[in-house]
Amino acid sequence: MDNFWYLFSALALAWAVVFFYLVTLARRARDLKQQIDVVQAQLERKND
Amino acid sequence: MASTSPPDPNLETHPSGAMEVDSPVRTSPSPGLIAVAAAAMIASLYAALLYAPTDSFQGNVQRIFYTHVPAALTMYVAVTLIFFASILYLQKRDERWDEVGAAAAEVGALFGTVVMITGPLWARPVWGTWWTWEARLTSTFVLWLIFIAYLMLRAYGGSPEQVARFCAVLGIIGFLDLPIIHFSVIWWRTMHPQPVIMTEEGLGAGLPGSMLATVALGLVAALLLFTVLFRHRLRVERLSRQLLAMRRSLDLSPGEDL
Repeated sequence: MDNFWYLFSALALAWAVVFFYLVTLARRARDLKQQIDVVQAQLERKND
Repeated sequence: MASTSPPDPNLETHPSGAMEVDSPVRTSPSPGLIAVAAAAMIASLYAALLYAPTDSFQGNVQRIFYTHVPAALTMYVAVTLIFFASILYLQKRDERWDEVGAAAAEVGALFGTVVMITGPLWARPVWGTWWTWEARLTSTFVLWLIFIAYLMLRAYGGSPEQVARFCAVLGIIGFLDLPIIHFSVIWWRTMHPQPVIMTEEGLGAGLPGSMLATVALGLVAALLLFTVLFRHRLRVERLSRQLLAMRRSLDLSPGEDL
């Protein structure tokens, strides 16, 4: 009973899920930093 | 017009006049940690595919074990972390424990998803079915649903204080499922194999040395990956709260021209 297809699918899907999450996390951090910069600029203008 | 609202205790005044929370950069995983985690994952994959002996009954499909079991044990770690963070949040009402719970829940759900993917792909060729509603599988599925409920509550739950409190309670309930998952194969007759790592005879007594070494390496790699993702997620959580606090401070004087 070898079933390489199941082994390959399990490993490929597991790694794909982790990779997808990593990319999503990086994108969320980048978007948040951009939004913080915008709000920071608004706050600085407000305090001038 | 100056605001008369009380200052948020989590905010500090920035020299520019803006408000900020504790720097989220401190929670970022270091490049060294990321490199060690990546090396451990590659070594673990090598050991699982090339070092560990082929199972005489199941054949190569048994190698899914070296991903499935470390992911499940890491999910246990995440649930335990959420449990302690929840207790500490309810006790101290310190937002930082809520942040830890939120980060651990999302990364825990990721490892739970890996368990839910690899399990059926291993079960199909060995048991002849993708899924069966037996005790171990069902209790693990319930834990995964608790993770999903926790994340949905965070996303759509209402006021931050209420969400933090409800999530803390849900985190404690989720932890109660852990002993049920672990002992399910002993308490009930199941298709799932008996424990081979945490056995009554001792740690790892149910496995030959090379298989035990491979699963141990897999566990180290999974825990390192968890640490990297957890720290990264914690940073995102803090950035998100920093943005929310800054927006709130902008809204305090809506009449002012920006």
